[in-house]
Amino acid sequence: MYLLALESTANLAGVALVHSGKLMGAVQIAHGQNLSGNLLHATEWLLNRHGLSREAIRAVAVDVGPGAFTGLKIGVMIAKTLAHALNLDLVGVSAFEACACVMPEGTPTLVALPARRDALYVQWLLPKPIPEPLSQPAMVLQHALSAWLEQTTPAREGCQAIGSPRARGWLEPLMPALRWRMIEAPPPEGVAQVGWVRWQAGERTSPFQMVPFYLQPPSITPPGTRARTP
Amino acid sequence: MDWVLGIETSCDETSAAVLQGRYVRSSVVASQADLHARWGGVVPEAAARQHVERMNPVLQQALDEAGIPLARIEGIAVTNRPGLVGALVVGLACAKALAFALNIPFVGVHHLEGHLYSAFLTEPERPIPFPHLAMIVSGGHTELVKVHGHGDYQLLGHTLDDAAGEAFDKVARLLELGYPGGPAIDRWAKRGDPNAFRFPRAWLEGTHHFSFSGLKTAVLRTVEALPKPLSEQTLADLCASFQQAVVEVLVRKAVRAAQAEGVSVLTVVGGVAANSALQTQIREACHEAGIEVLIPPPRYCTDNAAMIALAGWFRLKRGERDDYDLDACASAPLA
Repeated sequence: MYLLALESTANLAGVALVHSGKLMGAVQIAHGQNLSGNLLHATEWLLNRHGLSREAIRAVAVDVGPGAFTGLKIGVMIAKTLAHALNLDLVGVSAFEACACVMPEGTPTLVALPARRDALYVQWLLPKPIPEPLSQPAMVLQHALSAWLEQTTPAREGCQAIGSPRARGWLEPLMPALRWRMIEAPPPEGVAQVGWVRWQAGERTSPFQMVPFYLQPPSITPPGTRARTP
Repeated sequence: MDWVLGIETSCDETSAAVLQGRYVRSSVVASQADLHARWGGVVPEAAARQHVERMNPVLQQALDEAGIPLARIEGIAVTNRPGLVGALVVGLACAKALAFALNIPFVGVHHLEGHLYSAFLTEPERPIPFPHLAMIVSGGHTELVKVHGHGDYQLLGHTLDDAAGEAFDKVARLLELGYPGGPAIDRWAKRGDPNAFRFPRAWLEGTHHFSFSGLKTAVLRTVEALPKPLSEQTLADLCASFQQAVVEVLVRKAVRAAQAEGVSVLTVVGGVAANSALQTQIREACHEAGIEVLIPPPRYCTDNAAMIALAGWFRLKRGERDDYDLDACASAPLA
């Protein structure tokens, strides 16, 4: 009973493998241009290292976002197609859940990931096998972070945070008491662990239904018009 | 190599097709034209998101219509260049994951190579005639290509500015006829006089190149000088006169190139090849010149995965393979 986890919402391609609830291995590689190829290379490497064939995989979990639009699409597309072609169970995990689940349990946790140049994806969660949301997921502009924290912070003291260096740089002055864990990308082992628990609980998504969790509409510049700046 | 799956997501059509050798067993195209019409053109990020949603259902429909399970597929052909990168990577990720899951080979296909083969989808028994001349006319391309053999292409001419289909889209937008512009102009032109307005033709003598931006500007200037609102007859006359200017250039330059290269078969492919005036006039001109002309039916003029599968089938049959490192490219020359 192996579950394969895929993570590609930031600038690292991550793959992890779980067997009977136990993490067998996880790899992260800087993907440069070729994200889809590197996800498959990493999967192949991980399977080979454990002497497994692709038929050993029974389920695939994927980080459905939010995150980099292109990475998100590629990761979800690969997960859906593997599920479709190999008749695997498919489970979606949010980037927030994947991050929160690797933090110490029982402490309110702020997950803060890079969005656009001027914004972060943020959510408060309580780390558990399936992290419990303490606020709505949101994309918040840098200048609005202070107000967002005001409204959502579950406790002034004793909270922790996990996120990117830029997120820490923006949030630490606003909330100095947070204990930080820095990451470059959501951990694939987090996707694997939440995915495993969901899968064991009988949760499934059809490869014909799964869509990435973009949290942002596409920005649209109608053809023939140019965005004007004063 | 018998059963090949084709995947095409280079712009705003999500498409999958199943071929058995050269025979098309299914060809499914989910067009996003309605979605993009509200913006007056293709929005790349919206197109890419649609591909992610539709790819697996379209793939399954193609298999169902062909009446075979996925496990029977022996090879995959996927468009990996040129096009909208965000859109291409979706089809490419799907193709690579299928190749991984089924442990079968895949090849990346140049989108224009697919169009070159689109003229031969409906006659699978007929050997592909070499050399022949292909005129690719679409929203992104206007090219004359001499096809010497499989994978052996010589670019004779191309547009120096706008593609023919792009000119159709821009004039349609100017006249507020909606998106996509080609079919709209074709319909209006049927009720208009092609000689009502005298628009310029860029012949670029001594070359096989094209230019349509001057024509587009001439239409703009003419419209600016006309009293508003334009009457329906004026609109029809503008469409007919503009269309005639494009068609005349395309027809004459294609026939001249075929004669200069001494080829007896001309294919006209791409979305603009579905234009009724172009079809009528190029058939007439080729008949007079003793050139055989092949134009795919409209479903194979516009983007589709069947043409990608056919181009890929020939490559796979020659033993060509790509690996997981194959990347998507926004622009890439055919030859």
